[in-house]
Amino acid sequence: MEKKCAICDGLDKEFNLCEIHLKAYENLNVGYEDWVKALNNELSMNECLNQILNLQDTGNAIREVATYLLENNTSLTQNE
Amino acid sequence: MSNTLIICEKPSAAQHIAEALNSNKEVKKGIKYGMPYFKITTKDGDAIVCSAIGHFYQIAPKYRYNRRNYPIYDLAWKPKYLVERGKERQKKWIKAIKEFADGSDKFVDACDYDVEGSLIGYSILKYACKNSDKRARRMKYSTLTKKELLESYENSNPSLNYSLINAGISRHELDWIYGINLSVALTESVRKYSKKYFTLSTGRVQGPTLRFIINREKEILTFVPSPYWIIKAYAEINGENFEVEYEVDKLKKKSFADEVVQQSRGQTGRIEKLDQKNFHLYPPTPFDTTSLQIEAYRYFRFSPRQTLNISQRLYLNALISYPRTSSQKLPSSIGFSAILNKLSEMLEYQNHTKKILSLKKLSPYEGKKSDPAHPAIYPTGVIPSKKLETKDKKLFDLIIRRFLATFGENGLKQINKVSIRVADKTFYLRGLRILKKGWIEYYKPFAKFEENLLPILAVGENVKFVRVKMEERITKPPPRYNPSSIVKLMEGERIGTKTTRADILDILYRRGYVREDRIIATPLAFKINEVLTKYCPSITEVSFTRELEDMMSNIELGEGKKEVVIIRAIEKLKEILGNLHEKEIEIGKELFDVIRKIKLDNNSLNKRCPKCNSVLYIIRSKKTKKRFIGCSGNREKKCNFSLPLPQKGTLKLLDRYCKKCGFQLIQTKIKDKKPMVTCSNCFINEKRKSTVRQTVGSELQKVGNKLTARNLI
Repeated sequence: MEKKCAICDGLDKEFNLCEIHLKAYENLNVGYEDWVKALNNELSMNECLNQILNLQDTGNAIREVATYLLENNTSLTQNE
Repeated sequence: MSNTLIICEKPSAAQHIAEALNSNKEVKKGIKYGMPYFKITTKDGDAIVCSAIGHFYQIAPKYRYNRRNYPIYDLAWKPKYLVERGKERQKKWIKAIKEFADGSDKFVDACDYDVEGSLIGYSILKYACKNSDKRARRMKYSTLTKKELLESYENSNPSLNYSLINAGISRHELDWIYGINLSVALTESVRKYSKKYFTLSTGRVQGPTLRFIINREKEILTFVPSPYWIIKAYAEINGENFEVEYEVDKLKKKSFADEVVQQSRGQTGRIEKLDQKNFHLYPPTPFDTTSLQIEAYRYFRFSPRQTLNISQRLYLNALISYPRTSSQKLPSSIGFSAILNKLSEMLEYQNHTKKILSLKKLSPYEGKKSDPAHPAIYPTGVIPSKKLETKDKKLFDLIIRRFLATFGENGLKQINKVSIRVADKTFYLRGLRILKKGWIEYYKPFAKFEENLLPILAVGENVKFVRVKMEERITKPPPRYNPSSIVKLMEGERIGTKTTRADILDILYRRGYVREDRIIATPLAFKINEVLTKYCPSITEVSFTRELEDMMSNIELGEGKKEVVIIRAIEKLKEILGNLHEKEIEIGKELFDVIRKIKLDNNSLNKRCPKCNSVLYIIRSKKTKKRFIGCSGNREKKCNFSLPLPQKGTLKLLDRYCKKCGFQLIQTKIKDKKPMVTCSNCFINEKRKSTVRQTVGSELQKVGNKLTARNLI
C-alpha cells in the first residue's frame, strides 16, 4: 500500500511528505537559516515558526508544515 | 453581364463592402432564408455580397463514432450544423449561398485576411460553391474604409492564399486531434473508474499554460517570507529635506542596518560626486494584438478576450484597422497625413495632430515584429457616427493616442545622482528631470513620468542628515499571473496564436482549473497537471508545442507542408495516448478522488450538524432524485438530521447567515428569474409551526363543529 503524506492526502515522496510539503519543508529549513542570520541567532526554531505563521504572505504549504512541526514538536533539521 | 458572388466573414463587414464597391445609386438589401445580402453593381457587372457568421464548416470524425472509442485520427470537414447542436441558422445560410453560387460565374473571397478568415472563405467556396475556390479572387484589406475596400477589390489577388488556408487547416486538425483525443482520454478515465461524467480537458497549448500557472502557484504555496531592512534617511539641503537612499537597498542583517543608522544619524555628510546622465525616451511601438491586450489590461483592467471583442467592434465600424495582427509596423501606404487630418476633426486630438502634421517627415517609430497579412493596429481616421459605449471609447482613445505617440519625437530625461559620504557609508540623492517631452505629450495620460527636481549642488558641499531610521520589511512571494501577464508569457514562449491565447485562458476558467483575476490554480488543476506530468510529460512541456507552432508558421509562410506536421503530431500523440490508455483506471481514480473532494467542499456548509456536530452538505437522493441538506455523520453516527432545499434552479451556498437563526443562507437561481435567498432551517421551523397551527386549528374546528351541531339539535 502506498504511504500517504503526514499532512495531506498526497503520496509520500520522502520524509512522510508529499512533493509540495517536502518542498515547503526544504524551504522552511533555508528560511529558518535566513531568519537566524538576519536576527543574529536571537531566534529559536519555534519562535521562527510562530513568526512565519503570523505573516500574511507565508505560503499555505509552509503554514501547514509549520503547524505540523509545532504540534508534533519536531525539529526542522531532524530527518523523520 | 456576369454575376459575381462576394463572400465576407461577417454581415457588418458585408454591408461596408457592398457600400464601398457599389457604383449604382443605392445598395439593394435583401434577405434570403434569413441571411442578409446586398445586390450591387460593380465595374465587372452585377454582384451579390453575402456573409458567413464565423465558421460554417468544421473538422469532425469522418465516420460515425462513439466518443468512448478514442483515439480518432480519420477526420473530414463537415457543415457545422451536422456536428453541433443549435446551428440551424447556418444550415439556412449555406442553402442561400449555394443558390447564389449557382447563378454566379465569378467568386471573390472578401473574408478577413488572416488564417481563420482565409479558412472561412475557402471552406464556403469549396463546399457550398462547388469547388469554386480554384477560380476565386482574393481581396486583401486591413480597414473597412471605402477607399481601401475599393482598391482591394480592383487589385484583388487572382487566387486564394493557400499558405494561409493550409496553415488554418493544419491548426484546426491538430487542435482537434490533440484537444479532443486527450480531453476524451481524461474524461473517459474518470467515467470508467467512477461511472460518472465530468468534462475534463487539456490540449497542446492548454497543458503548458496550466503548467506555468501551477509552477507559480507552487512557488507561492512554498514561499517563506524573511525579514530585511531598508534605511530611510533625509538630508537637509538649502533648508529643504530630501530623501536619500543608502547604497544597499535591502539589508539582510538587522545588526548591519543598526550600524548604518548609528553611524549616520545626526551626522554631516560630504558630497563626493555628482553624476548627470541624459537618456532618450523612445516612443512606444504601434500596437500589435498582444501589446494592445497588455496595455488595455494595465489601464482599464480589460481581459484579453474583452479587448479582442471591443477592438473587433471598432474594426467592424471601420474606426480602426484589423486588430488581429502580430505587426508593429505602419507602412506609409496607409496614408499618415490623411488619417491625421481626419483625426483633427476630433477636438481632443486637434492640438496633437497639428503638431505632428507640422513635422517635416512623418515616420512612425516601429517595432521589430511584422505580419505579412496586416500592419499594426491604427485608427482609420473615420469619426464615430454615433456615441461609443464607455469601454469602446476608452480603447479607441488608447489606440488613437498610441498611434499619435509613434510619430512623436524622442523624449529626453536627465538622471542626477549625488553621492554623499558619511562616515564610511555612501548615500545617494537621485533626481529626475524631463528635458524634452516629445511623444509623452501625445500619449498622456497613459505615459507618466514623475519629476524629482534637485537643487544646484557642488562637490565638497556639506549635507546634514536630519533623520535616519531603519524600517523592517518582509520579502514578498512572486506575483500571481493575471490575464494580461499570462498572455504575454504565452507569446514569449511562442505557444498559441494572437487570437487563440485569450480563448485558452477562458477554457481554463470554464473548466474550473483556475479562478479569480489574479490567477489562482485550483486543486483540480494541480491534479490534472500532476497526472499529465506523470503519465505524458510531453503534453505539459513547451518544447513540443513550440515545435508544432514553428512548423505551422512555416506553412503560413509557404515553407512547410501540412501533411508533415499532422503526421509528426499523430506519431507523438499515439505515444502519449498509449501511456494514458494503459493507466486509465489509475488516472481515473486519482482524478475522481479530487473531483469528489472538490464537489464535497463546494457542497459543504459552514454550519455543523446541531445533532452530532458533523459536516452538513448538499446531497441528492439516489432513490427520489431530490436534493436536501444531509449530515455526513449519517453512516458513522447514525445521525438522520436533514433539511429541505428548493428542488428547481441552481443552488449556491452564500457566505451570509440568517439573521433569525444564524444558519447559512442558500441562493437559488432559476433562469430569467430573480435569485431567491432562503434559510432552510427557518423554512422547516415555519413549516413545523404551521403544521402545529393546522393540527390545533383542525381540532378546534372539529370541536366547533360538534358544538354547532349540538346547538342545532
